[in-house]
Amino acid sequence: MPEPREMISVDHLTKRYGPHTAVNDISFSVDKGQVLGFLGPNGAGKSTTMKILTTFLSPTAGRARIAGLDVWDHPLEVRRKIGYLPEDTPLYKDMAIAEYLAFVCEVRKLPRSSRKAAVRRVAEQCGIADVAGKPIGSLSRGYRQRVGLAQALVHEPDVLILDEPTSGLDPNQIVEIRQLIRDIGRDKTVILSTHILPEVNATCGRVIIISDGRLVADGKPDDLMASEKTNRYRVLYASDGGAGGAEAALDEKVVQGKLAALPGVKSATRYDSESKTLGFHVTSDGATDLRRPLFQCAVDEKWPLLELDRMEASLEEVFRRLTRNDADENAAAGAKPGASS
Amino acid sequence: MNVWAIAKRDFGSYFRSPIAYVVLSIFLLLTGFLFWNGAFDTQSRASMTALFGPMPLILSFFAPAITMGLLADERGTGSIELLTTLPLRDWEIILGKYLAAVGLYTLGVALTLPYVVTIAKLGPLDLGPALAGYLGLLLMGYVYLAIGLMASAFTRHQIVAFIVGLGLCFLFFLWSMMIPALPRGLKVVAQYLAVDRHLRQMADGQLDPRSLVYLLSLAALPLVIAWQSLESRRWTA
Repeated sequence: MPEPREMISVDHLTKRYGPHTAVNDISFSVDKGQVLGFLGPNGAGKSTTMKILTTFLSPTAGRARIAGLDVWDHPLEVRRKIGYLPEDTPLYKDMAIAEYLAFVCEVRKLPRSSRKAAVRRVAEQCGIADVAGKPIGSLSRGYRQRVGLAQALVHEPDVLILDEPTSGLDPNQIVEIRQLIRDIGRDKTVILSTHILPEVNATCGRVIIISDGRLVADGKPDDLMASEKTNRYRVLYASDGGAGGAEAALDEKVVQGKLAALPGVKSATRYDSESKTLGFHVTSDGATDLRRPLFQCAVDEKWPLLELDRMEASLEEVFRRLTRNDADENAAAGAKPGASS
Repeated sequence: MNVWAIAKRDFGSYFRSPIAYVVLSIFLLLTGFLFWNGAFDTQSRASMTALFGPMPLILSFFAPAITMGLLADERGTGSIELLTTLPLRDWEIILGKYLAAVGLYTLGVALTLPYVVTIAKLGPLDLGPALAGYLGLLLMGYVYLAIGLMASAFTRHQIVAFIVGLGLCFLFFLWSMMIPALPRGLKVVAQYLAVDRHLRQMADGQLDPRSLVYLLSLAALPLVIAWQSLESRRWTA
């Protein structure tokens, strides 16, 4: 059977816990060589979707396939193809790292002769080679997370499913792990969930945002940000009157008044800028592009303009807009079930 | 073999914690006392009957103590999620864990053999009943371990697993006490179902195949229920 290009495909997937719908009619697919970021607030249904993909839970409705195999009909084959790091990294605390990885190798049916090499490889990759003899229970959160990653990688799976892989790591470790995930993602398929937005920008070629069990956005991080129009601008003027006081120093009140009076400007507010400068955030009414009027105004008034830019929407803003709407609707309907992820 | 891998891991885990050492030493202390106390019958012939009387009671505590963590702890810590997403069948997990418990218990029973040797040196020991008694002791333990594992499969709390396992095993102990109160017709059935009666028969040297069938199926049933309990996470859609 030729390897299908679509390594993960989720088709109208729904999961209910009693009256609570954790995952609501979600569909998406991930191709080989893609790193997909799964983004959503806590309790949005990220973990539940991952638990279904890894055959831990069964879907209420819909289908999910890994490499063309239905997770319900072929659980064992699916499990062989995936490496899974569950949330909170529940490992056997009493075992030493090397001992635990050897156990995973045995159950994963790695040939006896290649087990040592496989354990050494992932221990190197995940930076745990020098602590391999220590019991997992004695490790810090960050190291435990690395062991979790190592066990998910030891059999070189086609598909990696990582639930919050960088939680509990320090900034240096986060950078390392992200690099590792990007490397792996070149020829494998990776889904990682997170609620840390910079993570998605740093690691994922594609992002899916889910909120309250529903898929609310799907695309490249850059496209999602571009789709969010912003009407905010930032201007920065020198305020010390130039070398030797050749020009008059700028007065905050005057500048603010002039900016606010420009046609199309809704508001202008001072922000904390470096010393001897005056910075403003200017908001337009939405319809007007203010870059030209702002430049012209500086020229006319002879304000020494240092910087002028239109602010980009951050992924945070996209995320907050998409996920807050849902919460508001729910609040209006008076139904906000205790969500569990 | 997957079952073997699981059994090895869980058996090892008993010895990575104090569990194995505590269980084995207290077990040997109690059985040692019973041997010493009742080693000789009235004709001062060496006998092991005295040992087997209180055994159902002792095992009611030990078996659930050995098994309580096997699945409840996996549920409690969440490691069950990693275990069940490895390419393992659910029955392999149950059987592997059961064998780990069986291994620890069998080791405990094997360590009482020096007592038997001592008794045999002090007086003539009837080997047949001794062997049959040991077989009964092992089988009864295996039944109680299966019941304990079943209790462990339903909860994430080890204490709950222990208490439920203890309660169920203790019911078997109480069972034979209820028999005299039953009407004549039910007595035969009730006696066949009484675990400790089978044990006593074996200690007397009667190796009835019906006893073996009964004890083995009594061990199998809780394991099947435990297996279904583990599998049910996939069915509760």
